[in-house]
Amino acid sequence: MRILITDENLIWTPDHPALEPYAEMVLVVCLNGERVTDKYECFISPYAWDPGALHSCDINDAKYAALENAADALNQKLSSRTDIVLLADITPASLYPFLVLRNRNRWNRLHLCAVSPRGFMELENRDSAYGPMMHDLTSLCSLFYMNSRKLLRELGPGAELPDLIRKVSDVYEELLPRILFGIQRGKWDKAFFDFYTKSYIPLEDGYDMIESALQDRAFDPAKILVLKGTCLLGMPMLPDYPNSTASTLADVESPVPRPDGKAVCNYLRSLRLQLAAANHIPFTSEECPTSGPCAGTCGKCDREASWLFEKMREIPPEKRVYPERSLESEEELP
Amino acid sequence: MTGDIMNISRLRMGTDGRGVSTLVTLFGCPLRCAYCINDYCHESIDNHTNYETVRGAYSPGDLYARVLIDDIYFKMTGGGIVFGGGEPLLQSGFIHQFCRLADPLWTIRIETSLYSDRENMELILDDIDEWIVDIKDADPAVYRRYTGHDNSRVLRNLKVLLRRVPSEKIRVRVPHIPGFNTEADVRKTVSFLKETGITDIDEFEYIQTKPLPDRKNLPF
Repeated sequence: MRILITDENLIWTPDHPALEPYAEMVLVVCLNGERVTDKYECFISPYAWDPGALHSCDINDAKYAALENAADALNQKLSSRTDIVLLADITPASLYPFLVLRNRNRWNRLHLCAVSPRGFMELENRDSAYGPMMHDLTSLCSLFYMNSRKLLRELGPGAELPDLIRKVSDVYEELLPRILFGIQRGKWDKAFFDFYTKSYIPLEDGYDMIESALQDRAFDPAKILVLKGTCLLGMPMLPDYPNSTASTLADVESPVPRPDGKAVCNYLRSLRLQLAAANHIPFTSEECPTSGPCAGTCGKCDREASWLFEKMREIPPEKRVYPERSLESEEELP
Repeated sequence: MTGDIMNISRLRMGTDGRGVSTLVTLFGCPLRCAYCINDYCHESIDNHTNYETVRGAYSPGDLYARVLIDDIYFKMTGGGIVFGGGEPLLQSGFIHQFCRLADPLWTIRIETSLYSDRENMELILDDIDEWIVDIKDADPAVYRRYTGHDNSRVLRNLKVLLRRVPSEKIRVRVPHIPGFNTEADVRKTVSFLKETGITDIDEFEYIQTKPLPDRKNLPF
C-alpha cells in the first residue's frame, strides 16, 4: 500500500502525527519542486518557481502542468504497490496526483479520500476548481467523500472556516485506521466508505452489507497490518478489440461511487413506492442506513426494482400506471 | 451486429436530458478534440495496444437485457437510453437494431457531434427521440483548431436533420471552449443556429480536462 499526500495539503501535511505509524507507506508529492520533509519518501515534481506563472488552483495551474510532465515517472514509482491511497482535502491541488494518475494507472487499485470545499465564500474559487476535478471517478477502486455542507450543519450556525477544518481533521484522523484497514482487507472491485458503519461497502452489496456490518460494528484498528508485499506486474496486454469476457463486461458495467449516492438512492426508492401505490401492488421498502458516497443503487434496490418490473408485467398494458415524476437536473434531487 | 461499448453508466439523473437515463458510451471517434473527456475512445494512432480502454462486445439483445433493470425509472421520469461516445453515429447500425427492441415508452437520445457520413445519421432518424448536438463552434477555423477537422459535413448534416426531424427534437449545445473560442465566437454560433431554425440552444462551459495551451500559442 502507498499513501499519497502533497505539500499543498491543508490537513494531511507531512507533520500530521496520525501519519507517523504508516511512515513506510507515505509518499509526499512535492508540487512546489522542493523536498519538504525528511520523515517520508518524497516525489519531487519538476516545478520551478516562476513569478509570471499562473496559479489558479485548477488544472491550469503551473504546478499541475509540472506534475503532469512527471506523471509517467510517478506512475512508475507506484507500480510495485497494489493499493494507492490518495489523501486529499479541501485544497484542490491535493487532487493533482489523482488527476494525473487516473487515466495512466492500470495496475494499481486507486483509492481516493476527498472533502468538498463547499459552504464558504472564501472557498468559492476552490469549489469551482474542485468540482470539475471530481467529474470522472471511474478509475477509482474506492471513494471516501466527506460532504462539508453536512459537517457544517452538524457544527451549527456561526461555524467558521477554522471550525470546519478542525472538524474535518478530527473526522479524518479518527477514521484513517479504518480507511486503511478497510482498503487492505477489501476484496471488492468498487466500494464506498459508509459513515454509518464506518466501513467500506462494495457498491453492489450496499444495504445488504450494511445490514450485516451492523451486526459486527466493532473491530480493532490495531489489527491493521502494514503489508510490504510487492507485485511484479508487467505491462498488461489487453485486447484492442471489443470482447465479451465476463471481466470485460464487468468493467464496462461497473458502477461508480458518487458523492450524491444517498440522495439518488432515496429518490429512486420514492419512485418505487409511488409506482407500487399507483398500481395497488403491496410493497414496502426500508430506507438504507448508509451515509456516504454509494452508487445510488445496490443489490437490494435492484432486486426491488426488478420485482416491481415483473409485477407490472402481470398487469394488462392498458391498466398499467406510471406516475410522472419530473427530474430536469441533478439539482432537483432531495 | 455488435456494439463496441466502453461504458454503461446507469442512473444519470437529468444530466443527459430529462429523467433517469442510462448512458451507453460507444467506442470510436474521428475527432481529436483538445479537451476530449473520453480520450480513450480513440483508436491508438501508433498501432500499439490502447491499454487504457476496456471495450465490451454487446449484441443489441445483450444491451437491452442489461439496461432493462431501470425500466420503471425510465418510464416514470421520461428518461431512457442515451448513446454517447466517442461518436455514436459511427455505430448507428447497432443503435438502430437496439431501438427495435427498446420499449417505446423509453426516451432514446443521442449525444453527437454530427461529424459522420450522412447515411449513418439517416439510418436512425426515426429511432431517436432527442438529438443532442455538440456543435462546438460554427466558425470553421475555430472548429479545425479545436478538433483537427473541417466542420462542413457537420453543418450539412445539421441542415438535413432540421429538414427531416421536428426542431423540438433537436437540442444544440454551444460550448465556451477556454483558449479556443471567444464570447464573440459563441454569439456568432448562436446567431447562425437561430437563423438555421434551431430553437433549443444550450450554452455551456466545457470541462477542461487538460491545461490551457501555452499562452504564447493561444489561437487568439
